[in-house]
Amino acid sequence: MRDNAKRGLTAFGVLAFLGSLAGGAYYFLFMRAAKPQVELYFDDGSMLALPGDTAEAQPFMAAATEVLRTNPLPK
Amino acid sequence: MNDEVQAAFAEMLDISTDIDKAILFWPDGILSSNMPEEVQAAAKAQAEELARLGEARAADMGAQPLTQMVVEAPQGYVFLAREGASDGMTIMATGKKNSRIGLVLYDLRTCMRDAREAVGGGSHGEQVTEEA
Repeated sequence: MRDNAKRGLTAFGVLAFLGSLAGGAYYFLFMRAAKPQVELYFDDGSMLALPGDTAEAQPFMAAATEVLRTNPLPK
Repeated sequence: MNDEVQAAFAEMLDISTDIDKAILFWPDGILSSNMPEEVQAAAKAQAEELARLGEARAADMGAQPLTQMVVEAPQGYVFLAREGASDGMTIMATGKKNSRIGLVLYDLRTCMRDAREAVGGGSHGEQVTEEA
């Protein structure tokens, strides 16, 4: 009985460890690259984040790029 | 009074090392900026365009008016903060990659609040139409 519980705990530990690794790898490979590039904050405290490569974000990205072209950042 | 606005703007630039260029304006004119004079009018128009895009988005969503915006472009950041009223102040700033977004937005809002106190209450105060 105790052996079964021990085995179950070990299996749970191994699965939890593998799950954490998989989650970390997924975040590192995919989520980081897809981080929002346009963030809008509204008066009621709500916020909208748009990934930079979406059609919705394009007008914002174009306007911001123009701002930075007119006012280039120091190297 | 305009000196106080300039002081608030200068203090923001002093404190916030992440901000490179910035412009503070309201519909009648530019209140302060460290951008070259020849690009200030264009920068104001660009900030108004960004605010218009944000407002359109808010209207689509049925959200309250836009108050802040951060755009991360390949070259760096563009930040925008504005008063709630449509004829209120707006401030736009540029920042390098890895800027501390929360701090920059806080500094922009503090500058705008100090400028508002300097020019007086109401969304539009009673003065400053002169371009800086």
